[in-house]
Amino acid sequence: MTDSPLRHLLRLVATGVGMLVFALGCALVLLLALPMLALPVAKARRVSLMRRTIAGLFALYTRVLALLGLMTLDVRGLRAMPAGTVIVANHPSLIDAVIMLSLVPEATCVAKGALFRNPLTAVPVRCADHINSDSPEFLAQSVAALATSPLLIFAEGTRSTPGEPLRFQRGAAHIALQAQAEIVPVSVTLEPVSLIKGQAWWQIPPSTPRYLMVMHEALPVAPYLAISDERSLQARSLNRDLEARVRTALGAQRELHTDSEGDLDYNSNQG
Amino acid sequence: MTPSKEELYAQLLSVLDDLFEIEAEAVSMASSFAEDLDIDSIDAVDMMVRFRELTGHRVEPEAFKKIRTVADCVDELQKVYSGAA
Repeated sequence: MTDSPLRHLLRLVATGVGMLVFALGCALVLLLALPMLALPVAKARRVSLMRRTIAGLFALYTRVLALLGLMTLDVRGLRAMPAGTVIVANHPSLIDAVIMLSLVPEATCVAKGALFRNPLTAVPVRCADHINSDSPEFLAQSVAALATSPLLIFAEGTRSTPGEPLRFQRGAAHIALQAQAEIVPVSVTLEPVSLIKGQAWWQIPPSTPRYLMVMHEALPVAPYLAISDERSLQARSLNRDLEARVRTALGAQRELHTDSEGDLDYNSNQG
Repeated sequence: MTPSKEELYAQLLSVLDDLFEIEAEAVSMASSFAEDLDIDSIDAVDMMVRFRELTGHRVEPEAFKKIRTVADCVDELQKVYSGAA
């Protein structure tokens, strides 16, 4: 069901406003970061303060997006994520990290190198002590971070390519095995898709996107440690099962989107 | 004494089987590690460590980064052996 031309135009304007607000938010964080850096407190406190600030702004932002009619947000299975949890999500859109971090403020996020160099995001991402996935140390840093926070990783390594099957890189599996941390799989669907790879900001979808994020039951890694002495084989097996679990969930979610009155039976999604 | 290319290739096949369960039939000299054999950067480090354990010789990381195919790897291993000898 697509919008009338007038509604479409209004959403286009609102989209532009949304982008501007995001840029202003980044600028605000930059301004806040400087006095925060000067605070005479331990690094851990500073990092925690920066993460909570960013999370608060992101939460506000997602509310602004909903108010502007740019998105409806539906989150299921949200619960406390303790330190030592690896949260693995697929990554269809630019908004994924914004939503996830607003829901799990204390998370350490694995982010791509470009974000550490972009003038708008570099300072927040560094002050919040997130991890650069381009760094040769990223595995070790991620395992270390798990000692004090949950870890968020978009295991596709980048935003999904529309139409391509789901493929997770094995970094998340290696991290979880090394840290002996359980994995919380998260499946994200956005229908109709927007802010996907390859699209310009003004190529907006035909109707208001519905963003559905489901946080699934944790996947323990102990069984995979027992599979083999070789870490490479443990990681392959774990990654395969993790991909399968998320792929199955995504299939069910996509059907749910087409049947907008429907509700999802989660029992059929486990395993 | 530097092993021949065939011997090095056989050694490599055995490492690929042990570490990644890749069967010999799936591999050729032209095989690309990343595209054909699904070997990522983490796997590459494991391979380097295993070579060092088996042979006592070390492939330098900078040289290892340039390796794209099985043929490249065999060449590099030969260099390492003759360099050390």
